[in-house]
Amino acid sequence: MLTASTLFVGAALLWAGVFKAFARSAPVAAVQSGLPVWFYRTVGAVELAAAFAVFIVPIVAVPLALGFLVFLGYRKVTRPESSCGCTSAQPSPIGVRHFARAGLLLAAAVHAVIAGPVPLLTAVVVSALELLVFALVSPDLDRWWLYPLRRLKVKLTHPLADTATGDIPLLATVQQLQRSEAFRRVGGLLRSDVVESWDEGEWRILRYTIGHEGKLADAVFAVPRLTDEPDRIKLAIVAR
Amino acid sequence: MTTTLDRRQVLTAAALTGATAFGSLAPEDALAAPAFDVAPGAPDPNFAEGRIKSIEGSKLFVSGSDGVFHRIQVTEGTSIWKLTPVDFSKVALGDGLYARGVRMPDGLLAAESVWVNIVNLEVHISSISHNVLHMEHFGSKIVGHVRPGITASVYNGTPAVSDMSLLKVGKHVKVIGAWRPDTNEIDIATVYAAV
Repeated sequence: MLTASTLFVGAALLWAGVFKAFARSAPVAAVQSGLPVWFYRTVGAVELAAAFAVFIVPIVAVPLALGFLVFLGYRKVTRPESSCGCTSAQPSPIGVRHFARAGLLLAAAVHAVIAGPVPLLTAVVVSALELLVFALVSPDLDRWWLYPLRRLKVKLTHPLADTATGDIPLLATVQQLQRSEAFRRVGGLLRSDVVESWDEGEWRILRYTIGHEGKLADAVFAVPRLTDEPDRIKLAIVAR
Repeated sequence: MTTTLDRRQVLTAAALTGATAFGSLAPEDALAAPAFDVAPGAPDPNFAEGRIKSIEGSKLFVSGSDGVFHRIQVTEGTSIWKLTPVDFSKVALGDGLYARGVRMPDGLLAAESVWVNIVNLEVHISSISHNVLHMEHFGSKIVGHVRPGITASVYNGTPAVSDMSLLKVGKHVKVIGAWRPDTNEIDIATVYAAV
């Protein structure tokens, strides 16, 4: 007979074991969590074995879950920047959510040992709820539920609407300048980035420093501000 | 301020008429520009990097991340980037910088270009709130402030525009910005995104 948590413990170990033992990105995850790949694959194999053994000998999951928790604490202290690498290769530094997940697994593993058997339907429902909580605290799954929610929020609230002003960014002017004949002629002589720029009617003026035969001067470009017409760009070189 | 405005009027008039102080510049003059003459692997003497420890007049005293101390001279002709082209008064103690110029015999770097607090990050957008992009860079969280009127977006390599509303949560983008020293926050200059 099953306890309420056995199915959950089996499913969680199966998920982690399949990833560690078979996923193509598992070596990446191993490196991120600072473990040799062969060891990481072995842990995956042990998890897979435990995922099935837990239905016969429930105690096998307890040392495994305790080991994960201890490893997370150890890694957090010795190499805080490393990732958990528990169920995916997505880099995410060890934090509260990883401890919550490992803690949940340990609690469920202990519960599976000490609790009495329950009807199958109860076991399925409780384990499904536990699996839901497990998924919510897994950073790896955020892109399946958290990001779509955040995208929906952006769609409803338009947080970047202020930027749709129609202003022409300086970069657009510089990009147009770089495509012009005037810039190609003197580009190799420019010594600085844009020193300053200002708008004059339909023109945007950009000042650079230019050097030629040991002399420095201002290279002043007049670029059409509101249209894309690099052929109309004008250049003056003005002594200081 | 009046002198700046007068100077700008003079330069505007010159640009629109196309005067040149160097006589006629032929294309081959530009190609004859001095070649990059640093030996492979050797430190480039005309480059400096570090945090500003003190400012005296128009000189910056900078300690490099490799422990080298640099003295940097800024002039009227030096371009200074700090989110956008700015004048020298905007440069502050504690700012990080990259500078390029000409190394004088006494070790002073006569700067031609200075980029203050500039960062170049490959990130993914984890959330968007009012004029703020929350980003993750290999798991580290970075807060990017959008500055309407300054921040630009480049979508699929097309010309830069000010409209950022095509950015999406979960997408990877490249961000050029100005770091706010000793925080995980930046002001965003440009976002490069695929849509």
